[in-house]
Amino acid sequence: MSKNNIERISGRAPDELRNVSIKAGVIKNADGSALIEFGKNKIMAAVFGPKEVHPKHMMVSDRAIIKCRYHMMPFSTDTRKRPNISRREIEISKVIREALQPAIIMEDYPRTAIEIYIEILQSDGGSRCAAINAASTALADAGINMRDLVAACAAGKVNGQVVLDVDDTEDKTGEADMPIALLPNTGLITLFQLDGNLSKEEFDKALELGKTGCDKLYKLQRDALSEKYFNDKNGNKEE
Amino acid sequence: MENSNKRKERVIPGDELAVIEEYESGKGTHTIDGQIHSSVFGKTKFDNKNKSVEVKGPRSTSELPQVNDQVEGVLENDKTLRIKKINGKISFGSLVGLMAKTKMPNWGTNDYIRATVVSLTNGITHIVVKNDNDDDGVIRSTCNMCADRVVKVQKGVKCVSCGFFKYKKLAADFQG
Repeated sequence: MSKNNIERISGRAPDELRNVSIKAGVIKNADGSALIEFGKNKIMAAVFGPKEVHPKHMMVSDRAIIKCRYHMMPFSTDTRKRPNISRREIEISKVIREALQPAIIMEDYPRTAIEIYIEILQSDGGSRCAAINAASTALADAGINMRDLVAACAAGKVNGQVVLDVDDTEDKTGEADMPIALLPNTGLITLFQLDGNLSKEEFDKALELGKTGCDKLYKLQRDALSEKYFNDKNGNKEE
Repeated sequence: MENSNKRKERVIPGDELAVIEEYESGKGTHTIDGQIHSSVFGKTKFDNKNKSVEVKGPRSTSELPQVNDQVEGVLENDKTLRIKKINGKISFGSLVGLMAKTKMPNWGTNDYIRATVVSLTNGITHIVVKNDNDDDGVIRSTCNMCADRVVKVQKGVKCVSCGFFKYKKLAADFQG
């Protein structure tokens, strides 16, 4: 796709992601952490665990449990957000937890809890996908046994055209938004949501675009981990 | 042990390492449909002699205490031990163990002790300081009265400042 046949507010091509940077291990006190800058989104994720379960009745004898908290800072939006946990945040916490769960080998940590804290410092649409990318990198940084990393990206429909990585303005004015998360090596989709209407052709195209976006983000996650631990941006490229 | 030139040296979770016909799955790996994949990021170790593959990461939070493991940690109160090391390896997880009841507790709050895991019943790590094991016992301690430095005396510790004596089971490598 060329840059000429579209009219996106940000000036991006339909299959172009926003500028993304991921940094692993940014918080000293957490077992694992990551900071992602996804366009104007700034998101920090921290992982603690495996640790003891509180309250004890939530403990599962043959595997770990995952606790996830997605929280937006009062200054993260254009108008002040009340700092207490909202209904939307509870829902996104659940969605993120369920997107990450298939990647974590929970059977390796019986009777424990793995806690994931996600703080949205600045939001600009697509924060749940960015948060999943950050949380997945933080889990790997914490040394938690995982089947795969989880990469997430949204596709959508804006001005009648299927586009990749919908930002806040496009989300508000567009016709559809479709965040997806997947395990890149196996292709298993762990999050799939669709807000809006798409025809079958548009849906197929959006899914394909979303997968392409996830592949790009997966490479950035690899680079972030390599950069921290092997001091090498292309440390994983050898075959 | 030696690394094959064809194989990846640095891997992240999900990377394919080998097939099960070729190698056995070791630490830091898992198997899906006959393929061995990495579970953590780190460096691969292909053991061509024993035909096994493992991934060694800079961090490993994967170790959970098992029965007969030696754990080290700080006593938060008379019963709870905040585990810092498992079998000499640093534990990053915030795990706690429950000290078994004894007639005369031979340790005190804030002591850094080494003890043995005796059971994992009901998901609780039960630990005990074994009297017949020289390694088990208090490694670092302070005075229970004035929190000053203590020195080892017969069958216990004595404060250098206030002279308070307390019986404690000391580890062979007690550091004061």
